[in-house]
Amino acid sequence: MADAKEILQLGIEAARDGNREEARNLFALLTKQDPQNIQAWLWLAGVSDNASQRRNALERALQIDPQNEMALRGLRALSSSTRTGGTERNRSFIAAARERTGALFGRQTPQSPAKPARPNREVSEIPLAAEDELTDALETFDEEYSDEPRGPSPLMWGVLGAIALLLIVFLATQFLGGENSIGNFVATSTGLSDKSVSDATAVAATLESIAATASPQLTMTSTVPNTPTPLPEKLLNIAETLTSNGLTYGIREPLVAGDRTEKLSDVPAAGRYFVVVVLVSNNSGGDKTIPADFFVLKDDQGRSYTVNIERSNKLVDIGGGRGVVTDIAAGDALPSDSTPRSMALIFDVKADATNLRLYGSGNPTQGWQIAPSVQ
Amino acid sequence: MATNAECQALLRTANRLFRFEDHHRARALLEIMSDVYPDEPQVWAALATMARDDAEMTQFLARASHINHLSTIPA
Repeated sequence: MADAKEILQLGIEAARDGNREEARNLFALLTKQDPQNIQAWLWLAGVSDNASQRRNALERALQIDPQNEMALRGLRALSSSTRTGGTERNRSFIAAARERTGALFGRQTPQSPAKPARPNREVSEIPLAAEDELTDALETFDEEYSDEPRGPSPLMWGVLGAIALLLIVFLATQFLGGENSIGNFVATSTGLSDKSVSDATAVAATLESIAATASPQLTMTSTVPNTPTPLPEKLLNIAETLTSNGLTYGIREPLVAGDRTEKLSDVPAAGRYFVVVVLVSNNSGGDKTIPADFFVLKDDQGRSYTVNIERSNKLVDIGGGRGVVTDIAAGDALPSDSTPRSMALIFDVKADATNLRLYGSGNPTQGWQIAPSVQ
Repeated sequence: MATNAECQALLRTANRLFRFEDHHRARALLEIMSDVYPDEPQVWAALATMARDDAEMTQFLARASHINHLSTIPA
């Protein structure tokens, strides 16, 4: 299947780029779609992150082709790893792979000068543009694969260090100066002697100095304007619902930003049409039509978008009527029967909008994250 | 939202491909995903964004909506 080969190639590229998790997901997808896809099983073995996964993948490859040499060698290497350790095991697997690669491209590898190159159907079907791609992927595997738990990477150490520094700065700014000084805090909370308090005060002074150097704007001062802080916005999980004005509403899936939606109206979108399907139930005791400004989409640029009722209705119309694409159109009256009904909301969103969140009336500080952008 | 973490990760991959204008492979990935995860409405919704025409978009949206329709809002 052409699509499968493209996705296999995508996985190979991910492995080559060092993105092993993405590669694993792609190869695993292919094995689920077609359990007879031996290339996918072999590559899945190549990017697996533990011996068990790798053994399983190689065994599945052997079930498809009991003579598959790469799978056989991989399994032999795995078996020997219990005696020789992971590094040698990996090298054996890589050596086997390189031999196969050499066979594929009609030449011998230094690791196996006496090994005759013979055609291998399975490997030759791997849609590689060049030998290097496979070799690179396997070398990445060779360098990164390990059964032993890995310690933090240098990057992780850097992040931890930065967090520690920020923590020091935070503590310093919280407790320095006046009644909140570390010295007073220590004295009142521990009852230490004057000498100890004096030492603590000295430490506080040092911390204050560090804080002032690292981030002067974070030092505690009495000149901070007393402006009201906006309520923090809470992002809801996809399964959470909200209630207001007798309506219970939620989203099941954030849908769709796409070029095709621009055909929903003769009037071109100012930005891009963006569709969100919501589920709404009416518990108010009377039929209700949801106002156009009940749902609002907001972006990080500070803009708010209300539902375009006309285009929402048009989506239902071109989709074959109510109950096909969605249960009801945005302008329909919602019966008060507590039954959740799906409704497509269409917003005309600026093309540069980012971090789109959906909010409902009566709950201005709680919403759902819909999409990072409309692109 | 898709409950399967692997499916979610693959959706992110498809989204990345789409953002980088690799529409062909994004669609190829989503088509295979629709085989493997036919009950994940996000897959159909994502396919709708890459529909070749209105009829196809409607079909994909209907599939996503149908799956959503089977769910109910928790009390």
